Amino acid sequence: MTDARTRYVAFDGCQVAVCSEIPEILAALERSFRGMLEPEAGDVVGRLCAGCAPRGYFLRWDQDHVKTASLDHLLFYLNYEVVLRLIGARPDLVWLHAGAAALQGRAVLVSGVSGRGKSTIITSLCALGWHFLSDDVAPLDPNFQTVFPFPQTPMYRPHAGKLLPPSRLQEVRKVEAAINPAGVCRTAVPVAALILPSYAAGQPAALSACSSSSAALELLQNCLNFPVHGARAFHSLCDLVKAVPTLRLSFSSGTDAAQLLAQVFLFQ
Amino acid sequence: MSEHAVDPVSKESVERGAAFADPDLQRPKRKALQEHPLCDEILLYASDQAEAFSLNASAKAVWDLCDGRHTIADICRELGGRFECSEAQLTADVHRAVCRLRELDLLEAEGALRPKAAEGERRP
Repeated sequence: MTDARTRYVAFDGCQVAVCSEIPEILAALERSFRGMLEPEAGDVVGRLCAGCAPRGYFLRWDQDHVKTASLDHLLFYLNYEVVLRLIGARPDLVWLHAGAAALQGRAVLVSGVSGRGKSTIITSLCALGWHFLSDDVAPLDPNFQTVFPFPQTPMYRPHAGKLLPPSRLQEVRKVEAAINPAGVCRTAVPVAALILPSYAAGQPAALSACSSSSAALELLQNCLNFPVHGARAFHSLCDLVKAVPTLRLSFSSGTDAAQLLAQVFLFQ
Repeated sequence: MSEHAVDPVSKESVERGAAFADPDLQRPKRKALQEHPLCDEILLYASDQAEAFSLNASAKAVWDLCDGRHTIADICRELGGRFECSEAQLTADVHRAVCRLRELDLLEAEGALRPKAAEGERRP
């Protein structure tokens, strides 16, 4: 039975149920997972409950809970815990810290640690008509080298006008990027290229070759469930970089970077 | 060579120790790691440390010869022939590569690197 206080975040048939009495929390959850909300369907892999506590907020699951003073922190934990449960529900997949977008049935995977420009590139590609698969978390099927859609609402940091060290990235608040719901991809797509982005202030967008071993090492560093797979993820990701072109992309403008990628991709 | 047990303080033992101190006579042996060749490079995964390592083409060439049989001098000779440069030119690079592999704990411990006993020789 559907409860007005509960939302269901879904991935490939698995759902995480989040309940709250606080409209702000439900509204924020809906913003974050707009493309992944579904009616209750039965296969609930986790239940979370968020609400107000004395001097702050709480997030509760099973027999455990966290308390935070600010709503921002609560929402951060909530997003994290939802994603964690969906990752845990599909241990057969290799989950990467990466964005992905597709064109004509082929996907580019954009991987890198926070602040490298993944979201900027993905949202810029989508503005050019590419299909949105994922902004930050990309589930990869290691057997078929396909990436599943995980369409969390993309959030990007507006251009700060200068290169910031990782310790200062949090100073730039992320803003939501508009994605046309019709442009969200709903099926797994074969990976056709791996892009490792980096911001280069004032420089034109440029692609350069990246050795397979460097690319594999970066992918391994960005594997979110590596302990589950160990050597299997190691060999799967090595196989992936052997199978697809791996390129470094330096850029200062997301639009220029996306246009360059689109040109290269179309002629592959 | 007499067939008696080697006395730890005998002349022979001291000479063996001196030979072992010569780095060119070390026989580096790679650890049993997960390996995945990628073109002329290689990626290694040490499951006990949960760490991966990337070796470029020249480091891979040295790694492949760290089999516990080749001495460092053998490795220099072998690679000298393969890359058409002199053994002397390669020596510093090979030493540096082996040293780095050892720092990263990718080679068996030094104790396992003692020169093999000559044929017919007995160990205590």
